Amino acid sequence: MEPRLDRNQPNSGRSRLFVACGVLALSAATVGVFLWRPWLPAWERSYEQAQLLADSNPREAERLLQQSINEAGGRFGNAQLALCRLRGRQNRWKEAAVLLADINLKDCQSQSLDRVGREAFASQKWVVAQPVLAELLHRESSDKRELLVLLKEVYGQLGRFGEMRECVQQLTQLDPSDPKVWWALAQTSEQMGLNLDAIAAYRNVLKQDIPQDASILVIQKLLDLLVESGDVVAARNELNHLIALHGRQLECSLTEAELFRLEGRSQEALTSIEQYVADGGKSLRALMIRGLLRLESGDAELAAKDFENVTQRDPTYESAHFKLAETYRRLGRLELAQKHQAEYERIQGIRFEAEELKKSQRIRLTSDADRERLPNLQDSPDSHSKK
Amino acid sequence: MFYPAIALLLSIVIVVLGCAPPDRDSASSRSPIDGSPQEQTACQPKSLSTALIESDGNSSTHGWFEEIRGEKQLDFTYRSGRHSGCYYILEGMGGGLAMIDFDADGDLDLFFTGGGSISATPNGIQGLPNALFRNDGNWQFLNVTEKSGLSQPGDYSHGCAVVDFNQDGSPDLVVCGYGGCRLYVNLQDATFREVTHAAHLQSDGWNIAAASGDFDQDGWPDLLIVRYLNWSPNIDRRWHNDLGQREVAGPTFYDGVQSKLLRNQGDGTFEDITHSAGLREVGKGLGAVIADLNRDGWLDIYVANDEMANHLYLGRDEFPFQEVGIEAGVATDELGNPEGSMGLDVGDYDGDGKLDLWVTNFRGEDNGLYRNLGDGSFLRTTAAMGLAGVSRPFVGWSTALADFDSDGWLDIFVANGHVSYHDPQAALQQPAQLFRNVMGKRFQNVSFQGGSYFRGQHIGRGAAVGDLDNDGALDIVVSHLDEPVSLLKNRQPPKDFVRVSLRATGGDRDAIGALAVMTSAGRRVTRCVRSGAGYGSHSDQRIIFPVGAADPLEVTVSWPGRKTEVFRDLKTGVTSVLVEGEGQQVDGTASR
Repeated sequence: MEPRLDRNQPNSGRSRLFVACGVLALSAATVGVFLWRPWLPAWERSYEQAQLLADSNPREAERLLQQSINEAGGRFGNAQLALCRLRGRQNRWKEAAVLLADINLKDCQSQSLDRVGREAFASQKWVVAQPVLAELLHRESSDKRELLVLLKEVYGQLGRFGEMRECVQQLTQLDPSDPKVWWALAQTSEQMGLNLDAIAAYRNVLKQDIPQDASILVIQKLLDLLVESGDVVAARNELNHLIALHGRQLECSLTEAELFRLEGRSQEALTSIEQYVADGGKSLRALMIRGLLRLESGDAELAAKDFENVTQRDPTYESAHFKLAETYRRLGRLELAQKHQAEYERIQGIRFEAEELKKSQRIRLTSDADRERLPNLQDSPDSHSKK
Repeated sequence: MFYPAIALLLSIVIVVLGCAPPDRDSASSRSPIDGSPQEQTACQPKSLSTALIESDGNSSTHGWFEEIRGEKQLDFTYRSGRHSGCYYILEGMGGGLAMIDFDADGDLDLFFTGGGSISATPNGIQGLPNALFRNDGNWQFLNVTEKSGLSQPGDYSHGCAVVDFNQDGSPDLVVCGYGGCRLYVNLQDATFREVTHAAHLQSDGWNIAAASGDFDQDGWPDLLIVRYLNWSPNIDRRWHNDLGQREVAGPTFYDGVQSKLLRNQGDGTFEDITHSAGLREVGKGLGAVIADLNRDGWLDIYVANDEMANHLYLGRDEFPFQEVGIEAGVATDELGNPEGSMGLDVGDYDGDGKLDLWVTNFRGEDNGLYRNLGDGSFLRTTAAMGLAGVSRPFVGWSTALADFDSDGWLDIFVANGHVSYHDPQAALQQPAQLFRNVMGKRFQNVSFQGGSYFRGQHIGRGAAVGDLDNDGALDIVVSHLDEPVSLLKNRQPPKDFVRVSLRATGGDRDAIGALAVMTSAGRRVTRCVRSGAGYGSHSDQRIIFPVGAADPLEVTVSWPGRKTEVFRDLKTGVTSVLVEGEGQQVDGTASR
């Protein structure tokens, strides 16, 4: 007997239903399994659950993270970092820093590091941001350029200028044709007193395509450094280069005066300064140099006028007060000499105090023991201002 | 229904994201950068230094000085202990030397301080033996340390001084060091005996240099002990530079201390009169020079302090001294900034008959030349004399104002060498410098013509100047840090010269503070007898005048605080001992 097709249809519909139910059940089971992921260790599951609750229920998330860490035997990078982040978001940065010190950042996911690093940076918690961003920098997938910019700022804030400069150096390697990064390297080196490195960096700025006014500024900076370093030969070459390239700028006469002075050619130095002033130069440094030259040539009255001029325009000009004291002593005007000596000592005292403060901070940051205890010491930038 | 939906969504998310390994990211499409920091330009300081040296003059195969080397020559090295890894500030200070005719045979012998060893253990700072070399002529020096009784190691030593403290006509030795000073009396049989305790020469702490002079004019030379810092290994600061490298913590990290003035009581003992003499309570002294700077007959003291204002003490008929460093314009640089001063000297560089001051400073600073204006004040003329800038790459130590080319004008020698191990701007080893005085108008950098020594790199510290071979030309001996000493023979002896040795009878025999004037090539040349110049070193006290054919062979001597005498008919080419009272008194001068 031939089977009836109409009887087969309801059967077929049912079996399809069964199949569908089966597939659905299987899918649900699969989803359940994937959701539950029985092959995952318990601490991973706690960590994942905590991640889900981080925004909505931070207290529960913290509990789960702590549980995850405990389940992992006390060390689980991602959970520790998440806990650290959680504390940071609660503005408990001091605790975050302490937690961070115990984390092996190499075990942490880049995404998590990135989040923590940026949040710490935005909150100006440099001690937390530094190790996180530094670890991230070593990862192949990181945006090195952006990280280096962030780290440069972080190191600067922490007073770790060597590392700050290293960041800028790496930026110059990434973008060797970008004059801005060379400029930044020059400025950083200069601030660190690394004049020779600053000179090299300024020369690299000049190798790039920069506008004329920028070029003049850079050459002038370069000249200042060469004069400061006492490298008369190089400075004179650079000055000639500047004049050949951009014509004789106002500042050229001042630089020329300084070079003559370094060479012991006092009369020529004085002539150059006079030229600078006649051309409308207003630099206080020019007045100081002219005063020094006049004093050396025995014209104390005129020298005093120059130094007075400087203190009138800038009453805190320490060395002008010093020279006025010296000059008035020479002129026998002892009362005025004493007045300026006292003012010089007062300003110098303030400067020394500021330098001592800077130094004490740097000692804290650079001694071996302090480096090890850095997170505890450097919790808040407020501690700087208290000092 | 809600939970399965979330579950489904989460499972997809987890499947997609969670499959990534939890530790590291996959490789980025961004090309990796070379992570190594840009190579440091450590060679740049050298090139700058060389440029500075080469800027004035051409290379010479011989030069002004010839470095004497050879098996039979002097072989000695000051040891600093700097390789211990302790990074103590102590290890960078180095030592000095003395030119001393200890056996009275008419030529200068050489005494060197030995330094010491350092380890990070209790009592880890130990002195090493000093050394005495007898000048046997023809640049042969024999080590007689053992025979002379000076072989026992003392303190970790730095500077030394020569003073005839018992006025027996034989030069005695003072050695300064970390922990104390030691006095060795010359027994006049080519041996010495230590008499530190018997002489009550107590100066604990860190002593760098000594200088002598009869400050109270009682006929006995008193002793100034220059002391540096309040430092000990217990309070040593661990310091890293901006590049994170371990470095020696400099003098600004420690408190200064008071130098000491010890009055010679004439009975073989000294009395500490530091307090009544009015020495500043805090100084960071590295050197001092004693001379009568203002010609008032009383000895003055100029102290070079490290990273703080230098001190000028004016002597007078009673203590205390008057400290006038700032008022006189010799305390700081020309803009009022204290400098890291080390070595110093005094001399009439511009030929005006007045004694000027010269001091060497730290890297980044100019060395300081101060012209004596004769009214109690000085004018810093470093720049005006062409000496600005040239010393900025270097750390200057011992120095001398001396007429090396026998033209009657005082030239300048500077021993350079850094204290910093990792200064990216300047190397530890640096070239010495030589500046020729161009008729008192300016100084010309002639380092490159100085000879091979000046083209080399050294860690220079102490140095002394004197006529070692009695040819009338001033030779130089330099002590380095952990590098053999160098003997530099002057290759330009004068055609003719008058050399005088002053012997005072109305006061300290050594005649510290006396002035000698001779007309040389139609010009009055003024020289002084000073103590303590250089850095922890003692130079030849004899005075040499180059002589032209038409110059009268007479020297006028102003004995400190006493009369002025003329000594006529002097012989050339030999040493004339000018004894106070044996010359012809110049009208208008008399004993005080």
